[in-house]
Amino acid sequence: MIDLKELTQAISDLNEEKAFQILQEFVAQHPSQEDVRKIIAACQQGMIFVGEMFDSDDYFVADLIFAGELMSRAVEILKPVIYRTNTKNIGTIVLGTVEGDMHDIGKNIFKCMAEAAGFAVHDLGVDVEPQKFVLKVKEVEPQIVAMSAVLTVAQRAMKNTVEALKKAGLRDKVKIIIGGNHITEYSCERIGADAFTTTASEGVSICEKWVLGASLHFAAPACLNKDGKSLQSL
Amino acid sequence: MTEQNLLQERIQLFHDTAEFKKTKRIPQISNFFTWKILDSEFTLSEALFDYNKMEKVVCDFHERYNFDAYTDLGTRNPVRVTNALGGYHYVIDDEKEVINIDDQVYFEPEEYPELIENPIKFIWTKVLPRKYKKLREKDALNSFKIATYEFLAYSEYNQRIIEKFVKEYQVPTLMNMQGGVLLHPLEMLFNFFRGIKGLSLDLRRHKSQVLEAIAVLEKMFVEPALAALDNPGSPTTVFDAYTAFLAHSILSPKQFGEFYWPTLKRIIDKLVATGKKMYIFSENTMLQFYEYFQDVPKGHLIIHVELDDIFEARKKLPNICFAGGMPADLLGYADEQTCIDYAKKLIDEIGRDGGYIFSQNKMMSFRNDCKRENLLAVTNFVHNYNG
Ligand code: B12
Repeated sequence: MIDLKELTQAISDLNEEKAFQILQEFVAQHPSQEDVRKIIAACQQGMIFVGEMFDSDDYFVADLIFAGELMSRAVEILKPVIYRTNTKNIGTIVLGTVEGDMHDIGKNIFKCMAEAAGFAVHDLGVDVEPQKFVLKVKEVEPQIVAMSAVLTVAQRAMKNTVEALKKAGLRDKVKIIIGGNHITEYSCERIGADAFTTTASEGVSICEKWVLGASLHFAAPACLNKDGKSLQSL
Repeated sequence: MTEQNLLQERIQLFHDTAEFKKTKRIPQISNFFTWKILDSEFTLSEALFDYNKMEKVVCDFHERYNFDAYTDLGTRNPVRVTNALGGYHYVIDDEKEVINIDDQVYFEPEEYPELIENPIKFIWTKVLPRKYKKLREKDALNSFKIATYEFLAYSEYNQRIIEKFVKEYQVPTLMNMQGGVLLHPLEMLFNFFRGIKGLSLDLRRHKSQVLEAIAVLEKMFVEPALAALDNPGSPTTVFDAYTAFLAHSILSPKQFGEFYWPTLKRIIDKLVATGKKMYIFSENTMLQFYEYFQDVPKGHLIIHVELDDIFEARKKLPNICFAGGMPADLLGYADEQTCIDYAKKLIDEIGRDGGYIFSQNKMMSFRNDCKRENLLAVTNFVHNYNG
């Protein structure tokens, strides 16, 4: 069996050559499903470290984009051996950049980190109309709807999406988180989301708290930060 | 005061402010883009496809709010020109009131050597045909002709509107668009060639080629513009040079030192040597790089900040004149008094001794970026308030 720590390290160092080499050797060994699970966990751990290093200002946006690319290539390499593996799935997220907005860098970073944390993420892409969110939510019944936007105008689209979910009778079945660098407590309240953030890693913590922590059906209309505090009380 | 004096007065006001002299009032720059159209009787596509309508939009806008200079006079999105070439990069949605434009990726990393070898040839034979569909088609020459007419019409509008602002409204141009634009080569890679994702990957995978590309693009595009700084400045233009920071937003401070700062430093040195001033539109944040800017002599750089805390910026870089600060969030959602209070705070805290130009933090683009009554209240307040 290969050295998992070394793999985690290679990924968190963004050393793709090394990481790919380890993964290719691994695939060539016809690994057991248990080993596949372990190796995926090691990759995810590497991504979690990348996220932490972004929080501590050791990595910057280009590094996160690079890490995202590295992870998708890693998954490509592993594909032939992961088809039967149930990796840990802690919850389901429907994600998209909302209508009118084409910016997807932040969304993709969040997606990558959420997947590393064990979420199954259904990514609807950019410029996603409210109805598309509604249809996907009906189809995959996620616990969480996550919306991204960096354009100020997109706040309206976020609100429309929340309204559309309400109209379809789905609002109470999901938690809604919104992200993007201009999102504030006020916009969160206006939009009617459950939480907001301006960093992907905080977003992941909030989602983890939702699915691993309290029941999803508690009524909490105010916007929450990751400690679960109402922002109005902060 | 005669009309002629107003133009001079405005230019002087900007210069004194950039040189940290105390002024009678704080100059105001409009950072309004497509919001101007939404504030008019026209739809986005009506104004963007018809220069006469656009002219009316920007003139009415000026008559209503009376800014001292403008980052845009309706020329930011030259839709007619790119469409004539089959670019269709700008998708205008009148119902949702947005313009969509995607990342621009026109070559693959394997092609760096070709760019480095002969950038002009590469741009003409590879990048442009990929960017503009009609250049790949049979009657490319004809499309090119039509596009040339469109480009001329666009330039003619540019010329006309600038002249009208200078002569009729006594409003100087903010920057000299002909020759004064000093786009960093990394910005070219980021904005025109490789996109934000492509460049992020290249920084690690193809580092030496990115550095080489920067060097050849600098020679080709930046050096001639630098040489032009030896000439005297235009008498109707506020700042001698202009640049925008976007690509910096993906870099670490160390990468900024490797990829960005060397060219930028050469630009700044030239500005200092020729006694010139440059306006930098800095998207996202730039304070993570403040140490690089600490030793720039006063009076040469004006940085328009977006997401940086402008109060902190003032403290960290007392040598730089800052522009911006007025949040779209307030202009779009708060009431008049809240907006005025914030404008007052900006001027009181960072504008008293020069070094601050009043403007909006975002490129004001969408309906909810601003309310007319708030903008009227704020522009009026700033015009009359002297700290
Ligand atoms: C790169 C960029 C572009 C690229 C986009 C490429 C791409 N594939 O995304 C291009 C060149 C295509 C572009 C186009 C335009 N842009 Co632009 N762009 C930017 C820029 C410089 C950076 C955005 C970015 O990627 N940031 C980096 C990422 C990592 O940050 P982030 O998105 O905030 O994400 C982080 C967190 O917020 C969080 N997060 C993000 N989403 C989510 C979601 C969830 C659920 C969670 C939990 C967390 C989370 O995680 C991330 C990591 O921590 C910004 C400046 C800025 N302030 O950001 C302008 C900016 C957003 N653009 C702007 C404008 C005006 C435009 C155009 C309209 C320009 C035009 N007239 O043509 C078009 C609009 C196209 C459209 N309809 O969307 C303005 C918007 C102003 C406004 N009023 O809203 C900005 C603010 C620039 C400015 N100074 O004014 N742009």
